[in-house]
Amino acid sequence: MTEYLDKKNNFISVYFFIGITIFFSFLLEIFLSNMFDLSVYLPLTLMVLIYWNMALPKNIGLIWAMIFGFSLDINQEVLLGSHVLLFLFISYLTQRYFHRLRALYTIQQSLFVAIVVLIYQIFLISFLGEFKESIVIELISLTLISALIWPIIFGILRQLRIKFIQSN
Amino acid sequence: MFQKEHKQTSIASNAIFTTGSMRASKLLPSVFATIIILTLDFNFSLGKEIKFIFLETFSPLKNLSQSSSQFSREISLFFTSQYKLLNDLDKKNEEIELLNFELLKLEQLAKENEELLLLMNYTKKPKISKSVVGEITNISSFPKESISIETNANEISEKMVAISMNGLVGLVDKIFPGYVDIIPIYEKKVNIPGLIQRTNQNIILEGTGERNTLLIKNFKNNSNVTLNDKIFTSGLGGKYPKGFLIGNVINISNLEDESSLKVEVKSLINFDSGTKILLVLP
Repeated sequence: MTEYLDKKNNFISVYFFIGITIFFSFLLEIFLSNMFDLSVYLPLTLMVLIYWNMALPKNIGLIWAMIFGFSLDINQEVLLGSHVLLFLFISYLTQRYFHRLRALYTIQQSLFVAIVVLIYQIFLISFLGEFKESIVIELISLTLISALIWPIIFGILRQLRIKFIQSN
Repeated sequence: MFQKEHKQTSIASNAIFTTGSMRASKLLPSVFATIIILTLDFNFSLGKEIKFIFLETFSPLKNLSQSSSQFSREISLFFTSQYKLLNDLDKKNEEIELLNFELLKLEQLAKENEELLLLMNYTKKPKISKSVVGEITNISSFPKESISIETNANEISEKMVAISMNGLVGLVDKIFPGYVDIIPIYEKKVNIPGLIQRTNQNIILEGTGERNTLLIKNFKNNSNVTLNDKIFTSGLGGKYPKGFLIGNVINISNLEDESSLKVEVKSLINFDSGTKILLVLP
């Protein structure tokens, strides 16, 4: 009876699987940021990180937040640790209050993600020190896009989690 | 559907007072470590090398996104009427570039022809017994100013002088197989027999080694010379052909012994201008 679950368990380690999904979101984020010449980026890595912090807070820890935070710092040529600090605080808040976040409706979750993304981007802009007139429009539009794509990311990752990882 | 919403609301109301196992104490070590790294990077640019290596590693990804955006632009353009228009525009731009290049070539050719024509006019002078045309291949300023002329070296003698389209510029210094080296008339120890046009007084000009500057040798105090007097070659001695402008008097001053004057003559001809040189033997 439990063979089915055991097979899923052995298929791939949860921790490694989380790392892979964040890595792909990281690659996609770099890809998209280079494709469009914008001052702010669509924070896919952050959104995937938020999902895993909400879905499997016991498995994710803070290591992935640090690793991909540093990777983004290097890629975007900002001060080492800028992304990491933000990722750590967001991971902390999400892991701390994951019960409440999980219980929210998708629209409410989207709103939460939009607020987090907005704060994250504002902090990053202050780290980068690049203030342009167009940055406000970019900031608002990317926050809206983040809110809109959150259900998609949530759905995809949820399906992947159900398919490959045994729920804790 | 309402039942589901009710269930969701009850879960949410229960969850409000529930917190996860994450505590601030778990977060603090990572935050401290990150702040240390941030400070080090801010003060000592610690991450510069690491960033450089990683950016090199990520460069294929960057290029991939850039080329894919270009590819998508090409694809989108392909299905619009703009595609043909842009293609035509590109072709026309290429044609314009080619025509501009041809124009430049023709302009250069016209200049060379003009130069040759002027040089040929010099050869018609009765006092010139032999002339050979050469092309400037190299201009050197160290250890001394000189230009290399590609020409038929067998026909060149060391007594020849160099004339460009502007006038007398120098004399043969060394002869090599296939080319000769020319030094300017203002090179040290070069003596040119000259003539002050206004007074018809014969003089000897000596090179100073300074660009375009010559001095009149042993010029007596009581001689008649004024500023801007034109100096020409006199043809005496048979080395330099007669009647070529050397320069203008630009400075007259007394020497220490007071019996002679120091007269500076400024050559008006650029030693290294033009592309062709005529080597002549009077």
